[in-house]
Amino acid sequence: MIVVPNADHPLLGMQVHFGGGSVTDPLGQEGLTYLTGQMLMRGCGALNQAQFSEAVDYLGATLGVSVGREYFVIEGEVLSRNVEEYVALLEEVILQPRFSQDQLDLLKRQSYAALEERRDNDEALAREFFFQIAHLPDRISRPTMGTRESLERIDREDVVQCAQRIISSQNHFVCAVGDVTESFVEERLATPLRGLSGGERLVPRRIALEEPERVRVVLIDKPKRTQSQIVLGHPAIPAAHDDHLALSVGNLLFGGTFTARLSHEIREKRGWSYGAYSNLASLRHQGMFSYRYYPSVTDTVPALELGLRLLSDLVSEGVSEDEVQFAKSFLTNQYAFRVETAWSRLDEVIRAHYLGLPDDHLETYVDRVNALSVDAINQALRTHLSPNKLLVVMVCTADMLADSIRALPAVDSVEIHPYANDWPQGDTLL
Amino acid sequence: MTNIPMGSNPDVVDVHDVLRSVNARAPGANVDFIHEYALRGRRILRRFRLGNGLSVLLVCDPATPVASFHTWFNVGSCYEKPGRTGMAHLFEHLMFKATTHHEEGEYDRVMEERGAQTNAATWVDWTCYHVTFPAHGDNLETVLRYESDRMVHLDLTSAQLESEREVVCNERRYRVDDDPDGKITEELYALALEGHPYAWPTIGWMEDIKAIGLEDCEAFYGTYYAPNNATLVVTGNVDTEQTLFLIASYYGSIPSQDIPAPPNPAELVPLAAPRRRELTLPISTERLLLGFVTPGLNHPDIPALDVAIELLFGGESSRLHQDLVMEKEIASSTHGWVGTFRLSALTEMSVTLCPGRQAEEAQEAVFAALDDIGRNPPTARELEKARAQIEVSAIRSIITANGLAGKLGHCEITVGDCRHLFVLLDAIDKVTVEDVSRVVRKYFTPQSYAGIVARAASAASEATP
Repeated sequence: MIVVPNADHPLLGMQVHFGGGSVTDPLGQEGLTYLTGQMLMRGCGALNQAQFSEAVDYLGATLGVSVGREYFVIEGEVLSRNVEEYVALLEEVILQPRFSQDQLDLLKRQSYAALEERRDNDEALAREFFFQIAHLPDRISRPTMGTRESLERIDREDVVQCAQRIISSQNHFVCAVGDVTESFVEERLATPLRGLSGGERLVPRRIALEEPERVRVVLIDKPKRTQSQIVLGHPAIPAAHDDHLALSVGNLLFGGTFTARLSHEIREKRGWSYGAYSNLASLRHQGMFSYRYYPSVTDTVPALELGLRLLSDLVSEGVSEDEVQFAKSFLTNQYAFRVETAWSRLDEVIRAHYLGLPDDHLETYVDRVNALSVDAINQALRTHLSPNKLLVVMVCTADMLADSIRALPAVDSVEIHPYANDWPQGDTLL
Repeated sequence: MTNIPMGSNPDVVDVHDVLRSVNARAPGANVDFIHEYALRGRRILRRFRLGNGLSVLLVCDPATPVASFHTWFNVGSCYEKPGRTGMAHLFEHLMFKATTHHEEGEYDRVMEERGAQTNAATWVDWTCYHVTFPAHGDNLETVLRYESDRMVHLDLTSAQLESEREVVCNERRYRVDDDPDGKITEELYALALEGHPYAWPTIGWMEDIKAIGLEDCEAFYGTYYAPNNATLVVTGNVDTEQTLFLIASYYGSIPSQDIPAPPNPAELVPLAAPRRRELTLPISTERLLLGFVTPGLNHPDIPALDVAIELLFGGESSRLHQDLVMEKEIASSTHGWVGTFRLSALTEMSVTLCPGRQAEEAQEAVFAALDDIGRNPPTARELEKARAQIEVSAIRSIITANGLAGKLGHCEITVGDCRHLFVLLDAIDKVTVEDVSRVVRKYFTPQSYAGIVARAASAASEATP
């Protein structure tokens, strides 16, 4: 149980975290955990969906389920004056879900529509295709919401069994934040949840991914685009790796801030994209280094060429002492935002838990940043970033760009995939 | 909201002592104390004004490790002229360039070195620049030095304009041209508010963005960027006297200037007849966006309109979510929003259709729900539910120093009263079920809407040759 009390505002948040996530979905039933999570919000105890949602809204509350590839969280916020009624509802959701057949049928139809709608947003589409392709053949590559075909294979009994597997006494922890006390959370939420049936802690099995063998470009072909959404990257080290902090500083200097190399070269000097940033995804088992920007059709080819060269320069030339001093100043000063509110402090604790970081991770952070040397950062860049082994996913109108991209010396292959089609998962998932 | 006597709150300062000290240390700034109010919670809002007309709002909170500094200018896209739309927004981008004292890129580099989070935003009524930073060392003074400098000493070049113009053109492609929701919203305002300065998009029409010249930018800067056209908002862990002294020192000598009166177009009234336009976009399902002319943020009908939109669209128990999404399965989502503008503008209602369903079905259901609520007042429980949802949203929005500064600044510029968020919450507590029916009948009629229907382009017409 984690509680971060703060009575500055008459508001509090509660979260119940369960191990697992969509990576534990059975093969062929992708989306099962997602459907199970959503079904928790479709009625419980004596309340049907309409009555349940009315009860939540009446309290000035939110209550929902976030299902990711490696997490399953029931969470929400409520006005302090209504906390008693809210906790009662939360317990009912966890202990007495209805899982009505009618609501499951409705939810599946709504999910089919949501899957289609996701193709309307180019930025999200580029990110999702990049994630899936980059993580193959690991099971984590499978879409959290599943596909129409996989959702069609799921019935009510599957959902009931999935809930029994996830919602168990051994597989959860409770968090609260805001205008609430530890004793209240212990008495009213944590203790009742200890009465859940046994189960076991779900720890997703993961494999180490291999980097792409070359610069592989996948064009997600969508008609009439005026710009191209480009994501480049490759698998990287997990958050608990010894080199992670050094690599994250290198990433910061490459594309982690507005003044970093990527934004400076692509946005500030050339005006080629509204945004240009890189990211080192901090995950427990497998990190992912990626960077993205979105130039106009006219600027796409030179912008891609420049983006590839900037990464190559970063790795071959390294970062300078001045840059590292800047990064240290930025990161150590930014610490204030990580502890600004009770909500941000809770986020930090939960993040450390999911990433398998030591308990004193936050307290030692500033000292560890200040202890980094330029050599350590450049060594991490050389060891863990591979400019010649990148996956490039681009949502664009392919016929306008494919030939020019194929002609780039740095590009080894170009594939074209229709935006309306799912990426094939195949039978090779591990 | 309560006027408070001195010394009744933990944030205890003798404002008159502070004022005497500041005016002695920074003579010429002529800082004046206007008033103070207790916000909900333990914080106190204090308002000051400098002799050059600069307004200052200050909320000290020693419990947070950060502070936020906002500069709000009374100028947005509605101050522009046709043919030069996008001026206010493009200029906002240029404000991060060189000044006569600081080279290009220095502002961003210095702020990032200090861990500060900076950004800016432009809308129809205002332009806002904000910095949130760790509240230690000389960070506050550094922020004030750079912010006061760029209020008067920007040093623009053609090269900077051309580079930033390209960035803005790409922002427009990102937010509008390749984004269905951005495209549909732009079309709605152009259709519903034709001839009104809210009709054109804040980011500007592409051809206008490309036509803006350096002299346009310099004229815009010289006209609107002055202390008597701005409000500073400081929140977070700062000391009242020190903050006031620094503001007086850095801003006190900037001269005021004549500011043109804000646009005052003819008051919009509900449309006399429906206006409708169809678009064909590469989307998976149809979308419907309706707009109804409703009054500005300060109008006494706004609290009841907020409640009406909340119970129609807010949360999964809302009337339209239950009807269109859960029961009829016409839509995958519904949204409503009451415009938060200085002048009359639009309340928006949007529906994303399910595959195979048509926008006309959604429109019929929306008007049926409006008709019902107009004829039959909501229940007392529905009213309570809407109030609670609005209250929780308001609280959530002011938890961080940056969030609070943003709300205060927006209300100050839009309605002339930074406390308006709290005034509105008080007014919402007084809304009756009859008020809700009345405003629905008054503003949301089938004769007075503007509507955009976005059809999904067929696969054949989309196909890449």
